[in-house]
Amino acid sequence: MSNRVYLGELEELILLMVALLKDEAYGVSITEMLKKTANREITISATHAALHRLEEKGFVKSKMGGASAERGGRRKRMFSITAYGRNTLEDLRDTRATIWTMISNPALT
Amino acid sequence: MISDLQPPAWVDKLIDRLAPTALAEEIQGDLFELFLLDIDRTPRSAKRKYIFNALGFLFKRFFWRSTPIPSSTHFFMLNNYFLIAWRSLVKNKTFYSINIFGLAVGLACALLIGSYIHSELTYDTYAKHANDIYRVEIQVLGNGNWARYSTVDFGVGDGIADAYPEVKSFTRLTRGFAPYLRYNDIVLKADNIGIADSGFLEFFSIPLLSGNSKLALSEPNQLVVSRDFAKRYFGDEDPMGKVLQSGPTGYKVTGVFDRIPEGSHFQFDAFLSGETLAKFRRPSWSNVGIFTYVQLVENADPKALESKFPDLVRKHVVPEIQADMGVGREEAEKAVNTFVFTLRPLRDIHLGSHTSDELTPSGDIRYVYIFGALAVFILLLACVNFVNLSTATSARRMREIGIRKVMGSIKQQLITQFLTESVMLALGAMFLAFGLVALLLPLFNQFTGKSTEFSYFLQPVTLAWVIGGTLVVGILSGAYPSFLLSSFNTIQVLKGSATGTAGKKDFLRSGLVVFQFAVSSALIAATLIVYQQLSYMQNKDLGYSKEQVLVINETRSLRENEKNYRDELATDSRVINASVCSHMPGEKSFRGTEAFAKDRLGTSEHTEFHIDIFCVDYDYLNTLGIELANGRNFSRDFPSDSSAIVINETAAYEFGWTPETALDKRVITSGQTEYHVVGVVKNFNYTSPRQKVGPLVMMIRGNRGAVLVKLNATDISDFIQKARTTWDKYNTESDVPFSYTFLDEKFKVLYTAEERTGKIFTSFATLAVIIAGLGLFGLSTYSAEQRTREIGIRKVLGASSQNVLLMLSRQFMLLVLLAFAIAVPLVLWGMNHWLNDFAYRISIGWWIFAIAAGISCVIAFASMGVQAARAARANPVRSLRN
Repeated sequence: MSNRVYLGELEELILLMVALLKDEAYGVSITEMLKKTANREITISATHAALHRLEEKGFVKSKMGGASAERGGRRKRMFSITAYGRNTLEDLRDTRATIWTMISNPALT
Repeated sequence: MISDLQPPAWVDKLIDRLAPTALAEEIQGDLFELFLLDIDRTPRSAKRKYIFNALGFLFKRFFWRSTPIPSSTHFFMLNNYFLIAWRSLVKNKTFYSINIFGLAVGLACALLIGSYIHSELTYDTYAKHANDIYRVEIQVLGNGNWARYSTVDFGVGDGIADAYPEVKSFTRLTRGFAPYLRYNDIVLKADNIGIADSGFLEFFSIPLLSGNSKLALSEPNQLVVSRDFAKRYFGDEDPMGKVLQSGPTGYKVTGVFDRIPEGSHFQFDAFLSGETLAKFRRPSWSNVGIFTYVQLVENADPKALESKFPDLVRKHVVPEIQADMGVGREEAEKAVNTFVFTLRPLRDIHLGSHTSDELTPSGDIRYVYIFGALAVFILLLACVNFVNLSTATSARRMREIGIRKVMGSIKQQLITQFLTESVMLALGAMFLAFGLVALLLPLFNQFTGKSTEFSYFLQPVTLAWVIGGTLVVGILSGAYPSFLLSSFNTIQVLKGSATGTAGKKDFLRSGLVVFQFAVSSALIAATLIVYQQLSYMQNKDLGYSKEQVLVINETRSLRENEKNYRDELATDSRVINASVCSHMPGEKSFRGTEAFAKDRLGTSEHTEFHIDIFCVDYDYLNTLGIELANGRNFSRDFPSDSSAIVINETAAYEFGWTPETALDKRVITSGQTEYHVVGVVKNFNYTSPRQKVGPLVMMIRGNRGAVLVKLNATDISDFIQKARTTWDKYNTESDVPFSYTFLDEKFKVLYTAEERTGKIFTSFATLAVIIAGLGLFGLSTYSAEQRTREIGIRKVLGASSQNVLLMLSRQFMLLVLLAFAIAVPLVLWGMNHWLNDFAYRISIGWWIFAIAAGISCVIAFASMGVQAARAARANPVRSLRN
């Protein structure tokens, strides 16, 4: 086994959402954005679970953000992507791009 | 509406409770935000979605796991508690196994008794209208005593149902004779047949597997049978429409039921239609003989109905008595006050009715109370052990508690820890208890005569009770040690100066030992008393000899040959005497009639009462060795003896005479038949010695039903063989095979109830003693260990092993003796109460207590002796070295 950490499909999507939402990434916004962009409807608890896993693996980091009225005065945990997370995403994208090129142009294999 | 805008508060509380603060905050925040969004989108289901979303978290692992954020110490520590509990368990195996085993025994016992009590209390509840069904009974005043009868005459049911609109319906039931029924070449005695009215099955909601329950018993010679009964005769054939032959008569099977529910006061294998018997149509009122049940309309008041019954007595009973006994109207009118019909609720029959004539043995509400109390006691004993042993082990864990406190455990956490431990132990004990129940159930069923199955204990309701009860036991018995242990002073604990033997606690522990031994020695004494009474009854001189008496049953079927059969047997040299008779001592029910003394007729003393009748022959008294008090036995030399009677002493007194004055007096019985007294026999006990001997009249009559043979031989089996071949010679008209019993065996059946009580007391006493012994064993182990060093020093200074042994046991022996002093008055009070039920009883002797005290002391000594001896023998060098 190599030291590589694997990214699940849902995890990858959520990691992408964190990257997309920049400073506004937290449970609800990610769930909503996921619905809007990828047409994937998942429960809020699933989002939280995925975010926890991502944080454990070191792809995202988090801190408690400010409170707002629409949350009943409760703070939210804001997520941001780490450099490691971003590298992993880019690796993934590059790998796929390479593979796609190979699919459309079999001569390259 | 504002309430619509609020998510349910309990969900937030739940999350607060379960999740660490920071996690709770972000989750609640997100949930709330989503809720607001949902209100805009789908206002109707927003609340539901909120709950759904929130519950989703409960299924996520991260929610339960310690996270990078300040973790849940609560759940974290729980793991640690389990770990430490396990280690401590492994380390102190003996203590914990005593603890768990004791509690398991207590729980198993409570479970079994609980099932017994439950089944006793739910008797006769299966019928759909069980709460509206009553049994009609009579109370008759005679000689100043009210006699209660469970049956009434054949006309009563119909009469009551006719007269009062609040009576919805009625049905009647009686025991059938026990015919031999034949199907092809299978001949079996059907000795458990009931005879019932046509509506009977519907009345008691007994469903038929096949057949129509409305029509199944509506015509003569119809038979409804249980599945087992059908199997016995027909095997796997369809029983419907088959005919069972009894002599020339055939009974047609018109219905099959599964079985009568176990909790029913009647248990028959089959029912014959009442239409079969002419007497079912008899409109008479003044006798007894048939169980009659009425169903009232809902919410009817049975008391109000009972108060109207005297009118019926005036209308029906009075004229009958007038005609039957040949007395005047005025005389007969007395019956209105002395002949009282009553209603007994169906559900009360099993526990509340104690007449001598019941369809199944009655239960007794007092036994339900006694057993309930005993079960609670034993469970308490087990809990007491639990508390005792847990506190005793506390010393060993002093240091652990100290360290925990230093590391920041607060009191509440320590309490949680110990409660967790005790609840775990209790649950372990519960599983063991279920094992014990499975193991002991067959034995228990034998005791109680029930057939409870193990699956009974696995019903959801039972399980809920058991688990709930176990948790309560765990918490209660863990409460004391946990509060005690958590309240020690940290510094003292770590210094080692708090050894956990503060005076107060010793007092409590001693109190618990006293309690345990009081209960067990009381049970030992009670058991001894029950058995003494039992053996007293069994060995009491009953006034007749029941040894070596062979009873040949069903000789009625020999018809005219019955007497010839007896005569031929009597010629055998091994036979001392033989007699043909209708009844013999040791039977459950007897024929009887109303009777009065002719010389009291017209006087103020005139009274009718119920007498038992034995139809006998000239040899009856000699065969059974019954002695005459006055007068003579029946004799062939007196032709007038066909209207002669021999009465017993009780009857003589009841008729208003004495054994001396009774001769040649006249007695008139129902049907205006007159008899004269030729002899008075000494009272012999023909029913259970529980009861006083009732008034008995013996008369000469033919065709009686059984042959008694008094033998002097040791070679009885050879004689039985001869009796069998002789039977076959005379048995020309029926299918009935030869069958026999011995009179003393028959008599034993009468003691079943007392024997059962004895057995149950024995097992309870054993259990209590085991538990108390286990407790004492644990405590003495602990006590010896605590004092290892003291013992070492004592030995070095010259104490002998015996001195040490004495010192260690004295403390507990005193407690056991104190316990005994408490138990004695309780036993005296309770057992005198019990014995008062018996007409012939023992008195409680001091020696019973001496034996009981001896037994408890031996047990106490045995359970602590091992430990004490080991401590006393130990090499002092070893205990003093460190």
